[in-house]
Amino acid sequence: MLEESLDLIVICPRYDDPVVGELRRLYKAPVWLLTNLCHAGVTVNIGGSPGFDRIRFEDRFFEPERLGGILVSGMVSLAPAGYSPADSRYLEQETFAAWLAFLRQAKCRVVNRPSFACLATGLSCTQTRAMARSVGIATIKEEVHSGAELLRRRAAGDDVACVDLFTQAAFWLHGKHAIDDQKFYSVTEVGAADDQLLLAHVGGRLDGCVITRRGIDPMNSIAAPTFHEACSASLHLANLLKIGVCVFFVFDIEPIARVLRHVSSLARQRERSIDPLDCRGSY
Amino acid sequence: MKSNGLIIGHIRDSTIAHVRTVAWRLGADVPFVDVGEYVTTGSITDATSSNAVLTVSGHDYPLGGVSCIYQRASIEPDAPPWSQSRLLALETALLSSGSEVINRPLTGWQNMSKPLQMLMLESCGFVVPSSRATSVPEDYQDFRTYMGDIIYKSNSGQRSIVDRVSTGHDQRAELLSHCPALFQQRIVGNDIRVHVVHEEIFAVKIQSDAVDYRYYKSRGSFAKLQAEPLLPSAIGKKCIEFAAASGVALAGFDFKVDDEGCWYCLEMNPAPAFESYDHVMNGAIARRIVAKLAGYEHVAG
Repeated sequence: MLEESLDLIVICPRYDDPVVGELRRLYKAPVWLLTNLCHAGVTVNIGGSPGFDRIRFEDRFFEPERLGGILVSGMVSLAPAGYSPADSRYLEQETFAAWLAFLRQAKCRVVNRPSFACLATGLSCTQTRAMARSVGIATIKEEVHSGAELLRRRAAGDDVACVDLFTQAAFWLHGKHAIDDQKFYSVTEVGAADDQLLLAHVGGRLDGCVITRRGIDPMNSIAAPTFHEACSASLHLANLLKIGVCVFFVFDIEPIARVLRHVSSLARQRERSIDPLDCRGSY
Repeated sequence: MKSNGLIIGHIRDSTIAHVRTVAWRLGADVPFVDVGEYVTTGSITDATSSNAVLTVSGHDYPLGGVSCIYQRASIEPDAPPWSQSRLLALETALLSSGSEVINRPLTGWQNMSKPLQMLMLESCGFVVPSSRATSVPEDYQDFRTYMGDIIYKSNSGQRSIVDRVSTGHDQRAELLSHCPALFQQRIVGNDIRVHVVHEEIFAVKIQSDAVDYRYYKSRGSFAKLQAEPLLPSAIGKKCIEFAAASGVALAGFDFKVDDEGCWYCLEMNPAPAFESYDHVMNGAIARRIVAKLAGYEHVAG
């Protein structure tokens, strides 16, 4: 158990995200989970405005200076029911915008502060990979196709990995995923039989595993050159995107969510811990 | 003037129309892709590479290897999913294009949050007004009591009408707990709009009796725009540096200048609708963009 007397806040849309349990296991301090930004009040001061930045949550005020840290795993701003679609969208954008400023300025440890590629713009995985390629990082190849083309390929028995550009849902073409012939999709060059490499980047260090059709391989054979190559590219990309903690895998790059589901349990088997708040020298 | 540049935008967008008109007057033959037509009937090849090709109405438009692309291909939030997926493909192609793009999608992203952008402007040496973004009613009351005369506006990139806070607003402060707003000390003085195109500066002064001069017709009586040749060099330099650091080739900075000559920077718009300011600049901003599209450093006015 790590010594930490100040409260910690995790911003994550999932109630069951394993990161909260892991932090509660690692730290003595209370860990608060904020799943929807609209559930908390927020105040941020700019330009010499007097007063404190703070958030109001669960009938308490939290000031960044008195927090042990804020871990941002995913920011969801969801308006309560009862508003018109236009009002809901406005409310959600206004809340999100205020939180971006709060997290940018917060005078405490914040893992995954808002940046161009992290949490703020909603950069899709296809766009992240395009950015990676533009700076020379090798990624899987992909091409954009219409839904009509995918339906033809499905009928012909083709099987490729696809991403819905609108929803970002990844699926195999041979499955039952509904395809809209008007939509555009990204098609990636990943064979259905390929293993999925999952890498967790935590504070400048990487841990990984391979998810195969048979289960999870903890990658104890860590000398594999492909793993080292992937680690090097992933660290480069994490630094480029200014993401402190994230997970890389074939279809996606996402801040922290799922980091502990596979990797952390395997790390514990190797008698060590991954501390999601250990982000020294990171963002 | 022959050009291998490209303009991508909505055919009814008045800024796009202005740039195309100036290009036509200069005799610059700049191809145009209507985003509406691309979305309904077009396709895209190699969208994730630096050499994507748009195909619209039987014509191919390479996005790689052209002198410059000027784009305003915004995504409407109400558009159907299939339409948005096609715009996302175009956005991806413009992100990865090997050509210069004015402006590449998502650059200047901090404009989606005015308070966040003000923090960044302040850290680059701009003076910003004392401001508070809040959804906590008592924090609003505290700011109001301390600052006195304040204005309110939206936090996000959503356009809102800026206005003074009144006692009527004070009585509705509890509603803030439903949705935050941005409050700011009221700066009395002229507005200055500064456009940056690469390293060139174009400034316009706006005199108006309305708090938000854009809405002078309903909330004031006049708004007079005129070219402002006396932009302090330090301000111009900061604008160029901030735009460059944000990866933005074309930017619109909003300033308020008080009676003591203090320049308060309000925001930087990375997708400025600049035609109304350009009319008092005799089209200088559009000419600079057309020159880039044509692959020249400058074109005569």
